[in-house]
Amino acid sequence: MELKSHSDVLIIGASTAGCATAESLRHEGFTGSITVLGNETSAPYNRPPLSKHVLLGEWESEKADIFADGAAERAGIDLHTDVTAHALNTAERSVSTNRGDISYGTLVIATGARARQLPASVDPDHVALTLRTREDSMLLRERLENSRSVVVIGSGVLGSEIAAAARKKGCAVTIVGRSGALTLGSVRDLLTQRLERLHAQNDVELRLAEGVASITHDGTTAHVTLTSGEQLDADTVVAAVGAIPNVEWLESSGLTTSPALNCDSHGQCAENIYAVGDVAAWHDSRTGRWLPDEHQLTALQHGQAVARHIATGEKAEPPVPFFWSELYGVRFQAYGRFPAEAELVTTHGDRESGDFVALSMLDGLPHGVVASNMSRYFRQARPAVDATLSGTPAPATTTTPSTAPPGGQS
Amino acid sequence: MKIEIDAAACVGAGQCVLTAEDLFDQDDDGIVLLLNAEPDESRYAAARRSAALCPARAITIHE
Repeated sequence: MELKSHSDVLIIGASTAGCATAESLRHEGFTGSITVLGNETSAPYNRPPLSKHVLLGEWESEKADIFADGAAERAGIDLHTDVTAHALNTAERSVSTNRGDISYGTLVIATGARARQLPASVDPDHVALTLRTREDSMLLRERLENSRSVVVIGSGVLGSEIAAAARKKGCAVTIVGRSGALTLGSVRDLLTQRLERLHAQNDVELRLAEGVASITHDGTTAHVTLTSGEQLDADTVVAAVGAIPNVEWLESSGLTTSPALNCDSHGQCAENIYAVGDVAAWHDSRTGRWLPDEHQLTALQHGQAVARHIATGEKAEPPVPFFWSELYGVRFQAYGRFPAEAELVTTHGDRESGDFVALSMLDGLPHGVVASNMSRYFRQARPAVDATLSGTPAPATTTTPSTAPPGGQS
Repeated sequence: MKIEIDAAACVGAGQCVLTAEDLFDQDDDGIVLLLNAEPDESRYAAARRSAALCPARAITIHE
């Protein structure tokens, strides 16, 4: 398809957030031209399955596609892959790419983030794999099939998911984490004991509060030397040590990018310019801070909020963080905020060992809810969190109804 | 309009139920249940919003 030299809305990045913006513009009745440019050769895809169903081989990778066959065309969205944006000129309202310059009426920046690599001083030969793109997922999937032992570097949720997938594939697994605690997205380290137990029950070795001094490969086996001096041998090494927003192409644009693109609470970062998804940090009027929030639902909500603003001028409520993970068949979900000064109060179940729902309580109000399984109780707790965060709090019940059956309540 | 769900993709977030509880429910495991696959025109917008907000993209709208 020919790349037009002008688009009424130009979206840089065929990410979840970029594609959601394009789709939502049409839902909002926007009739102008929409162009989405992605720098990968692959069709746009969703990321969550890449560390779950796709990594395990339970899904073909196409099932992660964002658009069904022809759906973008039917919606009147000009989607181009394999196009890289080099620079933004805000005065001329133009983006230069490897396929030429494109001018815009409104620009939406959705260039996402990339996997952070281990420093070259630690892993000079790039032995450690990372997991961020669909290609990464397919490579790691193949490697897990052919590995007996895996070292996962990183104590965050992605590290835990990779470890769980590797165990399911029958590999011996060790997680190495510089932090002393396992973390789970926005819930931070509040469930670390639960996670440690879950990994232990599944025979995953943990090396927490341990750095990696060096990684070498002798042609058949990787050798990971920890700062304690211990050496771990593995067929496959994976680093899940965070992501870096893709903002370098904006260096000469004059926009503030440190480390993400700072936007107002509706996603706008300059006149006629918005940023959505992992590349953006939207201002949170509740805390007065810019909050990056690298989760799937936030990316979708960013796209929808910006689309509405562009199409209708209406401002949407800023998104509330939501994330989920699945480890060894246990589903964890978290919604809202989990500030350090809040207290986690279990309302259902047993937080240390079994299924549970717990509220993040601050000043007597629920700011967040986290659950392991028990999805319906989790959902039922969410409106109270919304009420707190939107400034119209309703007191939450933190007592356990003794007669309620486990896992089911209507 | 016809709504289609993919229970294997569902992660039980409950986003759809919170958006349109007349169209969707969750089973005891939190997995989506479709209450009404062919809603009235008055509910088209809610159905579209539910599909767009599903973090697992487990809801497809055919129009």
